[in-house]
Amino acid sequence: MTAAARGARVRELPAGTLLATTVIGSYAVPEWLGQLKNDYCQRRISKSYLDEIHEMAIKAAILDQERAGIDIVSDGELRRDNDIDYLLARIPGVEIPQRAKADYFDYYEARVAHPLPEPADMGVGLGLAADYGFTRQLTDMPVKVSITGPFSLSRRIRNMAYADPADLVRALARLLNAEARELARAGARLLQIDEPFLAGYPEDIALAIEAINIVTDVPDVHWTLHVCYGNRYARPLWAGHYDFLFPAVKDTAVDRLALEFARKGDEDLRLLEQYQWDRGLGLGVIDVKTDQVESPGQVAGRIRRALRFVAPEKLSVNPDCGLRHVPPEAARAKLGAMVAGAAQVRAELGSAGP
Amino acid sequence: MPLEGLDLYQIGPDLTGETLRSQLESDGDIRMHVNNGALNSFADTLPLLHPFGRLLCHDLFVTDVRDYGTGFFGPGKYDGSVVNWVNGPLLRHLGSRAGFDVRISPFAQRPAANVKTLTAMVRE
Repeated sequence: MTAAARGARVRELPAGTLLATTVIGSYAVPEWLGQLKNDYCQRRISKSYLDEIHEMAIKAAILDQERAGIDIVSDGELRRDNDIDYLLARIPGVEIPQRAKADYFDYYEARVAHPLPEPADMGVGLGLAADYGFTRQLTDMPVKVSITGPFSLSRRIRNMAYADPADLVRALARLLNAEARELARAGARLLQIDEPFLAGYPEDIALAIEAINIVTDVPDVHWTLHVCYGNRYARPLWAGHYDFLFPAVKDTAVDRLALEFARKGDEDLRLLEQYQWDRGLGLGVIDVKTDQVESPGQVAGRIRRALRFVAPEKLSVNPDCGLRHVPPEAARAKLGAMVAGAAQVRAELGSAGP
Repeated sequence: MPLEGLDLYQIGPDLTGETLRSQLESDGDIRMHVNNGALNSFADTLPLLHPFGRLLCHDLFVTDVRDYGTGFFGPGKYDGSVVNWVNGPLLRHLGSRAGFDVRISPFAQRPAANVKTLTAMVRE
């Protein structure tokens, strides 16, 4: 039963809400959950057990977010092995010859031997709408769903089907667009595209944006584009700056950019002013690559420095990336500090908050 | 003394006996050094490795690579001294959980010598 069906009103953030707090997507995976995921990979527990374990973990993740005071929550992506495989394993035409893994977090070796089917030929979706439905019934807070973008998915596929590799990216984008439409039909209004591999291929920004615009062609959805420098085992995959995004990213049909600034500092904030980015910014204020918990004052300081470049009504607040590698206790504390830091600045701005 | 749970065995500040579980489950009743010092040192060193770097450690004492998996040479003269026997599967497991491939092999330049090389590098 959905929250609406059981009589609960699905809350919406009031118009003009300043500094809304949210997460990027993934939530802390405790060591025991990782071990259980490995047990499933090694055939020690069955799929139905794992599904139940995931559902219990998702309930706890949502409760953690609500108790921390997060305004827009996610399911913590706790069903997903990593940022790539959950989707790749569900896309018809993507072949994964070896599905057993020693460690759940490892990437599959995926390949495409024939052109992918078009969405109209697929019949069933990728399952994200059902995931959203499960989350929706657990909370009356706004829920965000993240989708790994077509460019990043393509980087983990051995292409044997398309003479032009860009056609694989476009084909993936069409399939993700169909899934986004399914999500919208299920009631999802806050969707996010994650492109964790884009920073490693800055020369492909035009292709990535073309593909993102295919995905986001869905009415009545607020889209966020998250670009980071990777988060494998709490280590960045890439180095560099966000210069490569601009001005090309202005051609994306997204409402908000979610970027990392806690770990990297404020140097790239100037780009938003320089290139007159006039849409929303999800400001990364929590470093997800360390267990050290920020103080509310540190978070507030990071928000204040962003306000030099971005108007408060355009700003929302989030961790740099997913909290997957942060221990649960630290993750809870970091979210609490983020909410408290945002409240400090909101008070300075004379806003009561959501 | 029996433990209530592996997690109660504190190997180091951020390491508990849970690290041992996979080895205990896969290898059964084994006698093997945990080697807390080497394990902690290894765990502390891995994050310092450059993404394209390799950590190489040469061992001058172990005559057979299999001793890293099953060798138990104590209690004896060297137990707790400057010479310690390394638990290879534990190092591999620890590395794997942190995203590193860890290999132990005979010293490539002199395979017949009593020199073994541990190599750790970032896994994709």
